[in-house]
Amino acid sequence: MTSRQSTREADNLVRRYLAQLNAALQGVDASRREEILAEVHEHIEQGRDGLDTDDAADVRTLLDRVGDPAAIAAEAGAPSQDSRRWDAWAPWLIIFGPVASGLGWIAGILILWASPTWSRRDKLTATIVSPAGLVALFFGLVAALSAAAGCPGHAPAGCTTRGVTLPLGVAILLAVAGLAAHLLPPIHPMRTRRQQRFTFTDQPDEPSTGPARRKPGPLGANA
Amino acid sequence: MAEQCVLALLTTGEKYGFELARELGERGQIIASEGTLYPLLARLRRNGLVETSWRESTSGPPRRYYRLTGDGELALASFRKQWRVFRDAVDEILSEGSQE
Repeated sequence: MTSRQSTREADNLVRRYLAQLNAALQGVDASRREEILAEVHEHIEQGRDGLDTDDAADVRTLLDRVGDPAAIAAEAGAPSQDSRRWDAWAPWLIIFGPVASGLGWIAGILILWASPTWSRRDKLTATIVSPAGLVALFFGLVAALSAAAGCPGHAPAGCTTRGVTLPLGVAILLAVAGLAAHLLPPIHPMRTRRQQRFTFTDQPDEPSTGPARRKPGPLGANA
Repeated sequence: MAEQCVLALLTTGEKYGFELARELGERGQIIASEGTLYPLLARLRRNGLVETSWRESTSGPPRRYYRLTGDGELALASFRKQWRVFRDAVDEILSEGSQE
């Protein structure tokens, strides 16, 4: 193995470690999380500067000394994994809850606010903008239908549009904007969540991941 | 306890995180692992017991140095007093136990 390859492997180890730490720190507020990540990263880089050979084995030892990301997260006051188990439901309940039944929406909002996964801003946006979008969508559709029926302006008899008299284009725009405002705030948290899932699964091949895992390579002397 | 140890290490002058982590890590027992020092430092800083400044280093990028604040010195002084009382009390109890 050339030294360049070895350095690349070491870089990957560090990157994976920081991704795990980032995932473990979810729920700690963003500025503190970034501060801790930056400092741990700096610590690792300083440690690597002091190594005679910057190869994967030495970097592994270095990372062992830095310690388990979960321990660092616990010291930072990160909430445990348990508080996130309902996360997957929240966006769906917020999107379809209001249409199906109000209770679904309330459940979605409760899950959202109880979970440490999302920032306060994401929670507020999903709680306020999403229902507002649904209202806009509803009015936009009603206005578009009545405009299409030729009601606005000189309204003939039978066209009781109750003040919803928008030009067709504006009405459609309102409906589309409403739909976007309804869907995007819950979908954005869903993406955040998926990114976290990704970093969680992106773990180095450690023997501790399970006995079924076979690892080829220099350490592959498994009996 | 680890927090007070960090404050005590800073009485001899400002230090950067890596230095502190190595000093604590080498003594063992005080911190679980080197990485756990950083949330601890962040907490001390938020509580105004230490402050930080960026300094150029002779090798590599600038480093964040930690130094005690006035509040930090006060907190350490009061911990020293409490610790002596606590340690004496524990010593006494342990020695009584061993005499029987």
